[in-house]
Amino acid sequence: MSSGKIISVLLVIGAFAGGAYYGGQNSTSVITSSRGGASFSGGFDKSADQKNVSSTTKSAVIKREVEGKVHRVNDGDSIMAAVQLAQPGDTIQIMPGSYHETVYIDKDDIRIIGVIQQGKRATLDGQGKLNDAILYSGNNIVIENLLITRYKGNGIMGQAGNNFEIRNNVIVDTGVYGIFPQLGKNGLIVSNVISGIEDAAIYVGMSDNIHVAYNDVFDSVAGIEIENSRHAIVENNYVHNNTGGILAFITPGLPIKTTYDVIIRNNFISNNNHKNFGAPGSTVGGIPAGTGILIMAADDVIVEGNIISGNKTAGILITDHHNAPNVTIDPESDPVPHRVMILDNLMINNGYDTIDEAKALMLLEFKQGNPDIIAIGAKDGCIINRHRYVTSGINDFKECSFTNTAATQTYLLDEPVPPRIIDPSERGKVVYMGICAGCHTYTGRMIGPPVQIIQALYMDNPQGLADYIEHPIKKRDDYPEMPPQNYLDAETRLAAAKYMLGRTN
Amino acid sequence: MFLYSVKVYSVIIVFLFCSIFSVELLANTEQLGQSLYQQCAACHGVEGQGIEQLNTPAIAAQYSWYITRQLSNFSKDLRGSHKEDAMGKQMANIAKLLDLSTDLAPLSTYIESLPAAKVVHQTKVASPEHALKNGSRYYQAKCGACHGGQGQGNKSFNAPKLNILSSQYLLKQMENFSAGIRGTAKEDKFGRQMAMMAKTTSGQELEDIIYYLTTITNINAK
Repeated sequence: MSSGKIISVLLVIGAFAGGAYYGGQNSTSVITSSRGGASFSGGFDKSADQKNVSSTTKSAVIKREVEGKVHRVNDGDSIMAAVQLAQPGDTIQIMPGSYHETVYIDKDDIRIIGVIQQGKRATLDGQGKLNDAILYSGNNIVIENLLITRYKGNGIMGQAGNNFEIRNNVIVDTGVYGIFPQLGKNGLIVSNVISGIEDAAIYVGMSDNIHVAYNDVFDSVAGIEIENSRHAIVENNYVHNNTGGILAFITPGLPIKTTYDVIIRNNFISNNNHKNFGAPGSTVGGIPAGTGILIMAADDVIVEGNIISGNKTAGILITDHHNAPNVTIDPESDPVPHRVMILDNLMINNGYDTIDEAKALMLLEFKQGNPDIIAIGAKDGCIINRHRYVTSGINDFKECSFTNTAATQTYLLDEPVPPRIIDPSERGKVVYMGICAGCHTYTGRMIGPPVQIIQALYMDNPQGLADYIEHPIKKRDDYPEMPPQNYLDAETRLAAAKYMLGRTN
Repeated sequence: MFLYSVKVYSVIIVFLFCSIFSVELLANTEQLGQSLYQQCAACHGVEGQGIEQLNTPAIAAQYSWYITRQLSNFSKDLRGSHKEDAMGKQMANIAKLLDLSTDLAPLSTYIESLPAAKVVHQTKVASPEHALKNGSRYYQAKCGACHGGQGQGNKSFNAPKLNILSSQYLLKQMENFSAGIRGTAKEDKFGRQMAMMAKTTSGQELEDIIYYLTTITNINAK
């Protein structure tokens, strides 16, 4: 038999298989209306956390019985000086002007409010030299109406502070993370405009009960990330021209090992085709340009009511850890995305210039066209109205048992949670979780080098490591520069160094 | 005015003498390095390319500070003294013939100046595509932070170049580090750091990492 004949026989068999497949698909399109039917009952049991007290307005921070003092900061004054004077319950008003400083808030119940006058904002300008604009480790912090630009590290970073509200800020070309609450519970990130961030514009890290809404996020590598976090809603955001739009995932090697119960709904997720400008080899550097929504290893993620358009790789990309680039395996993290639930979404013009891996997956299923949804390694998922989309890897997804999430308004708590109580013996641990783990995982390359490597370099020298974090020196061409942690006292730095060197996962 | 010119001229003349002298010194050092290298060439090859049949590594273009440290470690029994390290023992015997105070600098400078040679990788992997993907992520996770994203080494961490080495030599050294044959001496801090990291990988993952390195070896080889 000549090779020509073999090929034609294969083609015939292929055509039969393909026909059988398409026939099976086309015969029954289940059309489900999301206006009727059951509503998702919510993945968070409030009674387990707090007494279920009802309140009429939702705020994440504690209600003030008595307003404290108002400190006004005028152009030319120091915001940090006002923070030092302030007592819990006080408000700091920052007048329009240019401020070049790092503000560190290690107190509870402080509100930092920029005063906007005829469009002029209080501007924190790092001038390409300073690392962080605002760091807070207090609870019940509000940060509002600022313009933050040209910092190298973080725009606004929360370090283990609970109950926070970050709203109406404009953050432009500011380093690695725009808004980054790390290890916080009960927080609101609303109506911010964020662009030009080398990693994530909004990075919710190792947090719980978070609401991210009405933000305009663009020109960054990752738009909105829900990472190693639970009970989060991301809704009504406009996410465009990033490398990846909205991401829910588990980063392996972090001290908190899960992501679950995330609702991504009613967002515009458009044209997220920006060239990836994250560090090559890092996790974020592995996101394919043109990804609308990325779900990696996260469980119970609901995608509903989004308009997902013009993302060239795929509208929704679902993957386990094994198939994701630049991701290592953590034996303590489940690498499989369980129970992804895809409800009604409008998907148009996605996947028109997709990656080879996606093409190969489509080919395995004899499929053609530009993929809206690509899944690999997903388990126990569900979808409604699947016939609308070009998909791969979701044949075993069932019909969802509900059609909408209208019954779940918010995961913010009715009553703010108490401040995190930190036993002095746990200082090192809290710093590791609240600060270090923002950039360092145990085994993988995130923004900074893996902890395992740091352990080898400083095996018998915790003081050396403590000295380094006080005054880091750039040693690696292909990693971003580490910001100095000199706002922590010497004892705390040493405790964190010792804790880091002792970790095993 | 005249006096001033004389002064200026004499300064220039002295300066010229100095530069001629240092050029000469430089030439001498190079010659010394080259002549010292003759005793290495028999095993490591005339161009420092390593010789497969003798299991010797390529050394051409390796950083001089790394060559210096290893030669010194060999001669002081910090490396190559373990009874199961036959190759290391051979190297240690040769290294002990060197005069550490005078020979190390010119010799290692000469070796660094040799252009990177083309090496032959002998180890094989079953699925190159899978090995590349898996090897690249574990290389970045476990090695790249010190040895550089392209295996180019990093002086700040005293980490040598890996992208000039053969896969079989890399594998052998990783096995030696893991098995406590290399990197155990108290004074060999950098060796101990490497041993600690070497123990975090083995089997298929290690083979994949090494495969990844073979894809970036010899980027600058002639």
